[in-house]
Amino acid sequence: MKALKIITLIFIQSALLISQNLQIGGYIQADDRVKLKDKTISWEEYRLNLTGQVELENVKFYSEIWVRNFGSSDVKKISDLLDRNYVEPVDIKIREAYVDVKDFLIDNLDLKVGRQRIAWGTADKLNPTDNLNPDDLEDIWDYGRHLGSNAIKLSYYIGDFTFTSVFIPTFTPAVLPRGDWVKIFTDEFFPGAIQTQIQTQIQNPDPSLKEASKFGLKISKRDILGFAFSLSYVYGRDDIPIPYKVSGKFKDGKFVPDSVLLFFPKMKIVGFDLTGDIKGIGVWGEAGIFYPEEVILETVISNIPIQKSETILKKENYTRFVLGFDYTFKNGIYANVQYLHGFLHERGRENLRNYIVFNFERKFMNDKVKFNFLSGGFEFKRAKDVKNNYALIYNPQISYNPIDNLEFTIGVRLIEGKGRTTFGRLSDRDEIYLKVKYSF
Amino acid sequence: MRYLALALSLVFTTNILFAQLTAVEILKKVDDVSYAPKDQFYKSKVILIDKNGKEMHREALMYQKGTNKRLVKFTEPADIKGIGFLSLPEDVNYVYLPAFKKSRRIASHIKNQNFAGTDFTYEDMEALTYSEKWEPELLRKDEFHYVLKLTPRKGRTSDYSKLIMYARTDNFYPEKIEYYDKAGNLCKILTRRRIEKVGNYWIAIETEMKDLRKNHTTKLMLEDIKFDTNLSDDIFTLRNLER
Repeated sequence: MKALKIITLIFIQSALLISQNLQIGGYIQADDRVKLKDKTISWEEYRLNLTGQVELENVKFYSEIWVRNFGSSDVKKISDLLDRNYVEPVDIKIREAYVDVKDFLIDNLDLKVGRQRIAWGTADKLNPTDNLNPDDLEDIWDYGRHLGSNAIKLSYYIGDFTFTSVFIPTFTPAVLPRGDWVKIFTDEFFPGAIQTQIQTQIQNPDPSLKEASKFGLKISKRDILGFAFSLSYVYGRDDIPIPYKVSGKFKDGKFVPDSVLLFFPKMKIVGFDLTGDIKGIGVWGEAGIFYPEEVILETVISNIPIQKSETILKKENYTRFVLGFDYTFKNGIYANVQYLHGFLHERGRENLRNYIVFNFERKFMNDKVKFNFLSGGFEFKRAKDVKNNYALIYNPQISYNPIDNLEFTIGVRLIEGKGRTTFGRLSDRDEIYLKVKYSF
Repeated sequence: MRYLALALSLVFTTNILFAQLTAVEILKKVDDVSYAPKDQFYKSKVILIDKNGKEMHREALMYQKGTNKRLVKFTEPADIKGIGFLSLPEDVNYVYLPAFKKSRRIASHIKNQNFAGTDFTYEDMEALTYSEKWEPELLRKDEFHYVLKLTPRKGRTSDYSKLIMYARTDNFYPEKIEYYDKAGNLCKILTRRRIEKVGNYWIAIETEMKDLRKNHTTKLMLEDIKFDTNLSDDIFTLRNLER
């Protein structure tokens, strides 16, 4: 009994000690977008981001939580009106929750355990080497966002070198774009598979470590001939599924699918990136060489005794890469341009498209106003066919910080496209948006 | 009487010695007094004042070791909390942006940009001694100041065409620096106030940088100043910048 009291006392004292060091922060953000074509709401998100951090001598505890409401209700029948969870659904996500131990067991070895974001790569938001955390494509305009993963990360520092190893024991798939935005992935999941009239079934990997885990290794050097450099390796499953069996019927002379089976293929990814300075211009390059397993799509036609198989993902490597530069002109205009070969959902050499992403901005009024006057992207598959297959996005935006911690952002996205391009499918989704963010 | 004569002759001799100092020697002494501590740490309250007198506040921690390692981390306000800047030898500079959970090596084009809304540019934040970067020329000496003209050394790039430095004659502390842009126009003035001796070292408790083009001012007020605490080299690493 006495021992229990002592333990309780120690626990309370520890809790008080930790709570005295607790730093709470975060932000609240409202994000509203309206389609220009029919004046309907295309996105409505209210987010509370809460971070908590406790730092003791060599140990840091960190957590980040999102509490969100998407404006619209989930009410479908009258009984749903009795339940607040349907009327005004609130979505709670643990983005990160980890313990970070410095000099774990030996000097210069850091251990990070728990739900964490492991951001690899040096390019801006478009990172072919950032393959450990699942992609979070919920908001397609916030590309580059990832979910946290329950992982163990060890980092060892020696001189200018950093060695990192990561182990993620369980598999988590990517989050796909919310609502009808998912149609930009039509080609990846088999035409029609994302529509409700076709039954889809996703085969999750066995929960064994062999089938579901992912691991990564990285070596970074701070300075090689004036460039920061890293080399990485990741082994695990792709977080976006691919179809392997389609069933359907022949009707009126054409194949009509009624079910699609999908799974998450295994792949190895060798990555490297570098960043530095050439004659005052910031430059970076990043590449991921993907070695996928072969995927054969089996098509079963129920009313005709025909079964056909075709390879939809060859067992050959393909490379997604980014080349980018940034520069600040004497008049204060900041330019950032990136060329990307292969968006994060594209697989196979013949399926990789090209993207040029650009942003030119200038700040005014002592940095209180930022005007992104030339911002957007251009997508094409082949240079010689660019007239018939392209998408152009123009995204001017103005941000205003009237006081510390408060930011208003207003902008417009105008999309023009032709042919079968990822963003060309969104050409009817021109929109205007307003974002308000207050940090605390 | 004998002591008074001795003291006067000492002052006279010292004055002659100082009067004979070359521009290079003076700048070396400026470096010696500016970078005298083996290492230093302080908390800095930053006040940004616009042309209408409206103030915004920031807070940062600054660690410096020797003459060429410096780490700055913002702690307030919330929207920039966690932003860090690491300056290392050989012109290697990194910035850490917590929103992206990544640090990025800074290319030299960004050096003329203001750091986190202050009137200090990334170039002003570099951990380089004056002698390493500037070629001095003694313009004049008055009762209180040596006035030096500093131009970029060969091989060093700068967004400024020249600096005019006013170093105190009694302790060589650089009390005021005028910055001239590439066109030769005076663009910024740095003024150091409340220059006090803390322990064995001189330091300005208040520093003001005024941007004449924008009519905008940044004031730094130092607190909790600590010298020679044997700061570990681990502080000046990417590992620490990203923690």
